[in-house]
Amino acid sequence: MNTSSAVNAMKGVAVLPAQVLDADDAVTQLYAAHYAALVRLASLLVRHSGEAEEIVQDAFVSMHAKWGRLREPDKALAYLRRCVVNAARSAHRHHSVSDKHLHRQDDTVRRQAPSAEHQALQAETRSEVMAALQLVSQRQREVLVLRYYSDLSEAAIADAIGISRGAVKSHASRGLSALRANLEDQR
Amino acid sequence: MNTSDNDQTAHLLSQALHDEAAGSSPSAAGLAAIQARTATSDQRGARSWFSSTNRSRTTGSWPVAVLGAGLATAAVITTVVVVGNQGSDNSAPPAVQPTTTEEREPTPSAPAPTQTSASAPAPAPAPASTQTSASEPSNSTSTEPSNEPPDTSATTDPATRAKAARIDAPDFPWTNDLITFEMVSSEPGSGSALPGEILQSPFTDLGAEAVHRTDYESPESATLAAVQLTAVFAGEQQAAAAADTVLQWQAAHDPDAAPYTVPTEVGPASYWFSSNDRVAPDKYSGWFIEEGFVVDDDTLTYLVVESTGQDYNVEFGDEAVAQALEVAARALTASRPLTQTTPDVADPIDRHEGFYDANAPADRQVTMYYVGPNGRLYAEPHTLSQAPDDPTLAAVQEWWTSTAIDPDLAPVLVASEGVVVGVTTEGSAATIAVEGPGAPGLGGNAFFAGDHRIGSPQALHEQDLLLYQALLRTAGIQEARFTYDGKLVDESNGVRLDPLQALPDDRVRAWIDIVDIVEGQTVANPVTVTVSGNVFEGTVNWELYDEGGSKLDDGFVTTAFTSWREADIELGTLEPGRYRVRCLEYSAADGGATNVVDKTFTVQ
Repeated sequence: MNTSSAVNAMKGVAVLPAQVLDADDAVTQLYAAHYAALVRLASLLVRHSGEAEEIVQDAFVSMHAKWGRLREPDKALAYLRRCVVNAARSAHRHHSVSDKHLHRQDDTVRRQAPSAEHQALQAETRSEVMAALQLVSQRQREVLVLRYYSDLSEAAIADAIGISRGAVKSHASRGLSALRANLEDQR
Repeated sequence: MNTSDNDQTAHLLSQALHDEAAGSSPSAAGLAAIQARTATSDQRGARSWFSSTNRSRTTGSWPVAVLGAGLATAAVITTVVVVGNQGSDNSAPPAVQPTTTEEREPTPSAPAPTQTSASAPAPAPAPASTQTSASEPSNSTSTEPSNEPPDTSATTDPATRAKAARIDAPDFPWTNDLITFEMVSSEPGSGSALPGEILQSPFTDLGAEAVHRTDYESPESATLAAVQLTAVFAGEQQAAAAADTVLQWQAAHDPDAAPYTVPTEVGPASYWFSSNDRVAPDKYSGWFIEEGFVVDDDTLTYLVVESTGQDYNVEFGDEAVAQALEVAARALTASRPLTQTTPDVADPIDRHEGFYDANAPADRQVTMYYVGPNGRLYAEPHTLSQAPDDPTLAAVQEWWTSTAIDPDLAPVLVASEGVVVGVTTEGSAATIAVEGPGAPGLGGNAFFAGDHRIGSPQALHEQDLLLYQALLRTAGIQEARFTYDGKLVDESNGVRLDPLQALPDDRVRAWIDIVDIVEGQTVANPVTVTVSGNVFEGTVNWELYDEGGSKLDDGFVTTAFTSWREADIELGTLEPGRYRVRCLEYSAADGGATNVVDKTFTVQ
């Protein structure tokens, strides 16, 4: 398991004395702690990487506007994460038609591939996995990304997506099975 | 599939996700961008991803420059190319570039915006009145007192009325008959993010006593969606003030485009195009976001319809939102409190609202069946005012003349002025005798009518068929014939009545139904909800919400698969207050919620 610092940040233990922070300070602190990780999460959920930052910025702006009304400011990160997942879901839905029209040859290649030769095989595998991931259902994809990238607990995933913990288990299990089937189909 | 396979796949996925994410490099200017936007966040909060703020989302210009100039211009393109969601093929660029050939002037009768500043006005202050809701918990364990005339709490409660004013998914119109809508969620409140481009704050900030949001999506089009927000205010003036505020927001959003209006049965409705951003990176398609509202006395319904296409060549007044506003107006009329809708003339049918008293003797309890939003039959117990001599006749008469307690369930609307005067049973068959002044209503022999009768002949046939099936189940019979003033009725709107046969459970029965807690019931601790289910793996998920819509708890119970079985949901001891319990199934196909059933209740 590749546990990056970004993942640790996503688990994150934001140090937020919410009661004494105003909205501007809250955004600044949360930005420093979680912005990069949230952008990476968004980039995994939407296939159009240019929107990932915009989605996260939307989430921060929304949180800023509602800071005074958040019932549990200590859960600001959970709020941000849920905003990102919801916005990514919306963006994904809205993109489906334009993608269908564009017939893009390689939808998954949207960043420069590693140039080093020894990384070629790994990149190919990654590309296959990411392509296969796009074929599972939206809800399953969300659960898998939050589980295997953000490393969230079932409860946190349930909170981020707005489903029950039982459904998280179900989606994770079915999502993995579907992903494996998709990978086998590719090979 | 075994555990090892899944572990290996999970490992591959984890590695790929982290490698992929590592290639994503957030810009250093993110904080500055957020700060710039939050500095003006009093003007606009964050919206959905296609928000038409000045952020640079697209990478090129719209092919027709005029589309970017103003919102109303989206409606003036009359050169027909194709419209994305109306059966067109968008796989190739249009053969003819859209051109502007006709300017549509805003309707003169449209309310004039009172503010054209680019800055959004502040929300109107909430009314000082703190009118007590009619939905205060009662001290009894019934939904209504049984020995008194039924009160109108079910229809005067703002939250109930806001919910009752929603548009049933099959009635949600589109510009052609190829597109249908499904209701994907229906919740109290405005939702986590306001829909559309215009609204600056929730209607509760404008003084609404209750707001209900319903989201619709189309199974035929992944990019077609709609949202209905219904807000109930303390009075007509407050609703009018909210409408004025919305118009000011719209004027601030687009000073050059006044709203259009469309007549409805409750008065003119206002609507407009709020966005036409292009669908990046497809330079030939754009988003059309239509928004509008209609006010009926103290209630305002706001609609947002999103779609994509290459232009918008729908006749004036036929726009999806304009049609939807007309349907919404009818729903508003139906959701009015009884005090507003009770006619002065005597109704030959003793119509009344259904009520339920859990403490009443068993011989006064009857089970009604009604058609739910998904076209399945749901049970609802009613309490009769007195023990009947003929339980079957009493059940049929109650069904014929009462409305469901749960506003999610479609009302029975009798077209004729006939009343059921007798039910003669022979084994599992019966003859239902109807008599009364006047001939039967629609279609010569049709018994049922009303605002639900919208749609194709096939849809009407299906609606009537379900109503008759509900009646058969209520009567507890397998076969029925009908007579009207002594003459046998052989057919009604294509439903064969000579005889009418009961359809099997698989065909009509609700896959999930909450059979114990009746909508609006007051219960004592500990709270137990009984659910009936026939779902995949027997798993019925449940969720408990407080009055504000926050989820308090969730879980699942096991019912049955391929047959129906009941299971108890033990909610335990709850604080006094109002709650909503939801039962649902997660689709094995896509994980979406399906067969959703909601019941609100009050804990003493």
